[in-house]
Amino acid sequence: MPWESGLQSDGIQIIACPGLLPAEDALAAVGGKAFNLLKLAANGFPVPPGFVLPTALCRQWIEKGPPPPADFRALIAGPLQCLEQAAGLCFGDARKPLLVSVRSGLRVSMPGMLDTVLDVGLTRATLPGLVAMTGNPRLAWDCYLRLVASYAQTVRGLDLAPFEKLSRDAAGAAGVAALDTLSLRELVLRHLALFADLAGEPFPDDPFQQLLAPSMPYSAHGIQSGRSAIAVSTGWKACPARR
Amino acid sequence: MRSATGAIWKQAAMPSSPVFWKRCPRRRAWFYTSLPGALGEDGTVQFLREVLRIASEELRKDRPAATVRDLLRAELLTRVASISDRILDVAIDHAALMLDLGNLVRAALLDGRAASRELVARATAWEALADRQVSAIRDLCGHGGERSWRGIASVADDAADDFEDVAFRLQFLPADIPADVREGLLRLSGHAVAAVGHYVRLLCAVRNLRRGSPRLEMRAFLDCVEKLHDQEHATDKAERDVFAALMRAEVSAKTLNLVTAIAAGLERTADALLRGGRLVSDHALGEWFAV
Repeated sequence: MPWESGLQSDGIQIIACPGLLPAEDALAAVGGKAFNLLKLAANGFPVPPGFVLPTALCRQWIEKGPPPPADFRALIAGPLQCLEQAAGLCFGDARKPLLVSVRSGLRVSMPGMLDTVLDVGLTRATLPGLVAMTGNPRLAWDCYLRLVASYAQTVRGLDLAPFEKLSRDAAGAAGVAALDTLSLRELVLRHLALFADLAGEPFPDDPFQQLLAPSMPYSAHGIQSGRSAIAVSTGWKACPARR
Repeated sequence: MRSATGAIWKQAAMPSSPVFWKRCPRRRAWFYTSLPGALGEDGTVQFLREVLRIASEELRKDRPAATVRDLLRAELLTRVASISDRILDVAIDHAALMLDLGNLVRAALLDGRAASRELVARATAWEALADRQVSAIRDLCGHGGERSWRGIASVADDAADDFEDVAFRLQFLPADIPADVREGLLRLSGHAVAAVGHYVRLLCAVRNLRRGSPRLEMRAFLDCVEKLHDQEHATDKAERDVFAALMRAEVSAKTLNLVTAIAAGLERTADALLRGGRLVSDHALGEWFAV
């Protein structure tokens, strides 16, 4: 299994390989954030399992256009399997869904300029699985709310103000934390309807579609040719919820 | 599309509106229910949107009305959950509100100050909302084999009542209670909240028990029941620890009375959840053996 080597085809790098220090020139290939995670993992620090789509792949996609969804799915099949094995969960599974955070990385640090989409893989089909795993319906709906907001902003480049207004109208000054779970769910459904209105299409309910879009080199901040994309397990487990 | 959906929604939600037959597979019976009663509000809006899309697309293609009707029926059948699934959904909503109440109590204890009026008001509102879920379960139960959910919901709802009562009492808790008493209460509330989490998992496991591979799902289900037992034992012990800490401390009679009532309330939540869990277990295992 290529998990042990850490490096997969197309230069995709697996994070969380104890004892396997990245080469110095890996910084340009994977970006600063992933490089530091690789070093931490190599030195035995607890780093959530993940994988990195390298900057070269990003440049390739800019030149030749993004890959078709089927090709993308085939490309990440191996690393995703590694992630699933490490987490004991399965991406898109209705019973034990694996959620990932997709983060961008550059060789140089650019605070606030890189995209993050949280809780990718959460859909109407996988949400009950997250509730069953964590025993916490509120947490599941809260994750969904974050996913919709971060996807709307970073992937579709939508203005967050209407979403924030919906939240303010629902929760008032006390904030979303003051809502009970049923009201939070109503708020999420309103956010989904608003997303459909503003984006002109429904929020993606396919986990692979959710993963593909934020991995592409086109973001709300424009094209970043030297960008890498890091998919990291969010760490929801079948036992007490912990991030 | 939105205004059209809204217009149909009003019709579908009316109690006297035309309703459709709904089949409950386990009971082999048919009975009336409204669209929102069968699909939930969100599901009804989605279904009505789909109805409008299918109808307009197919009629544009000059498909016969009978074909369109069959397509709409097929769409409905894919969406209609059985009444037992719907009851389970509401039971999970009920448990979610109990978890909200438990977390509210825990947040007040972690805050280290007397609970605010806003917090107490929120607890009262959430407890009333939990009561409405119990009523909804009763309404859905009818006279079939799902009747046992009435008892399950009522028993488990005692936990919501107790959490709300604890939230009320917390507004009188002095900030200067001994540290080990406060820590004991925090531990106790942690166990009570964990018990609600296991109750939620148990309800989710019931759903999987109906749909999944028997041996694995049965093991997961029984594991949830066992964890509810563990939490009940843990809350018993934690309550006694609080009492022991009170006996060691120099506190006023007022504080002694208040803390004892709070600890007893938190301990009762785990009792109620275990009783509810046992009833869920009896019901689900009875169904499982009957299949």
